Amino acid sequence: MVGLKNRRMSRRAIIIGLCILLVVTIGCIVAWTLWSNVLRSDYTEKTAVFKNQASQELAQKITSLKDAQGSASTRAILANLANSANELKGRLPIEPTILGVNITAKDAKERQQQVIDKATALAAELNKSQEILAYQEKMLPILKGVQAKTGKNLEELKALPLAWQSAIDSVKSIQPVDKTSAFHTAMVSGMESIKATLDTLPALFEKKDTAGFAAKQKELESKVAGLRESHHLLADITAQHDWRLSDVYRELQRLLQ
Amino acid sequence: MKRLVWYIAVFAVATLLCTPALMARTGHGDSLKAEIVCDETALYCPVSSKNELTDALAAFETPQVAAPTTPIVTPVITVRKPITRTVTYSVATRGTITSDLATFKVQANATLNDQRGWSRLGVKFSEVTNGGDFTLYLSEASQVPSFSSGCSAEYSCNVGRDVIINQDRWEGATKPWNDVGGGIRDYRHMVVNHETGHWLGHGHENCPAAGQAAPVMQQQSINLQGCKFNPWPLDSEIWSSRLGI
Repeated sequence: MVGLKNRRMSRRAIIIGLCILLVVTIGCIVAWTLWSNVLRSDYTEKTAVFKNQASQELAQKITSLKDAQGSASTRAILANLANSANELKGRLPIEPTILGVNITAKDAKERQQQVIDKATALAAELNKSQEILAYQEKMLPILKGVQAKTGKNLEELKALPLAWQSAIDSVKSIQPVDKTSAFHTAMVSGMESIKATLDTLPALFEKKDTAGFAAKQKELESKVAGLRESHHLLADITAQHDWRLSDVYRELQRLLQ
Repeated sequence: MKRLVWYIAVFAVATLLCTPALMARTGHGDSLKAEIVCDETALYCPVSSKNELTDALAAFETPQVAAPTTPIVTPVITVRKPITRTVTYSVATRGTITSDLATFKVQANATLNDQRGWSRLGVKFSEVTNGGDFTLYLSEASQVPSFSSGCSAEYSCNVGRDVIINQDRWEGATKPWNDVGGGIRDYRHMVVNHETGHWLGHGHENCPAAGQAAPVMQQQSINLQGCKFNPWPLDSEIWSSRLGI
């Protein structure tokens, strides 16, 4: 009898225990759900704010490029923009966790990674743009300097090839970036060819060989025309890079929307 | 009953474990619909090509060089007959030759066949190894009189079929020529044309009028008579008694 009573008591205790476990479990689930939703909602809100701010910040800086005067000013904005792109990654909201368990939605996580990747790519492209601009900044005074040289008398004619040789040496001392190497090679070879023609002029001038001098002048004009044409090559190279930069920026802006 | 208890326990634990994963799958980031003001026109900026270098290159000009000035004139040429016959000549030397003979041959042939020269007679001058219609000599200056007593060591000369170019004149032209800044190539044109002109049948000419181009057959190195130095035959000189033209 006692045994039967004990068995009934024990069964009731188990049922009560199970009920308590069930209630506790359900309670935990509800608490987890509520809490994680709060955290996620907060994360979502912060992400939205972050994206809005980042997008506008980038857009403002990109827009300010339009007003940049000269390559030095452009380069400064690009550097600033590259910094922003890099900082962007550090400012991304921290993903919410409960007891060390990350509760970020998978697609949100993926999008965050995409933003990081694209911001990294943008910073890299911006740095390349700066390198291209810096290369152009170094080339410009050399070209302008040699352009100003004339050969209006024998003395100047003799000095002219020396000035060109000095310009060639200066150009050679500039390290071209990958994208400008084809242009760089074309420039060096074009300038060397012009210098070779200039080398012949003083002797022709001294001999008063007007016909020979005129022929060399035509040759010089043709070679300078060739050098002039290389501006198309540079324009192509830079435009291609700018379009790539634009694509990356466009993709980043899309991710921030 | 025991089975029921197990079922409830397993359900509870499974629910507890699976809920976060399920919630993560459902996604809660779709509410990111922030209004982004984006200037579409600024999405492409020509940042790498600020045009300074491309502009400078596109406008790059040929270096300004002053051509040598020369008082040598080229006469107005209107008479030019079509090539109908070939005159042959050989090249020889006399005395010690320090000039580059190859250059002499090339330049003499270029002068003879130049469109401004005696080729206007309708003649092509062709160098042959031996013989030919005349012999073009490059002679050491002191050896020029050896061709004829009428030739001086000072100038070039023509004796019969021999057209003799004085090496000193070939290398240094003459003082009057150099004094006015005449180029050596033009002098070489003039002396080859002048001496070949004698072979073609021409004598010496005088300046027709001051300020005009001297006839190539005028003794320009001796007295210009107010004419201007001219290395090429005038239209009026385009004839040859030797060739019957």
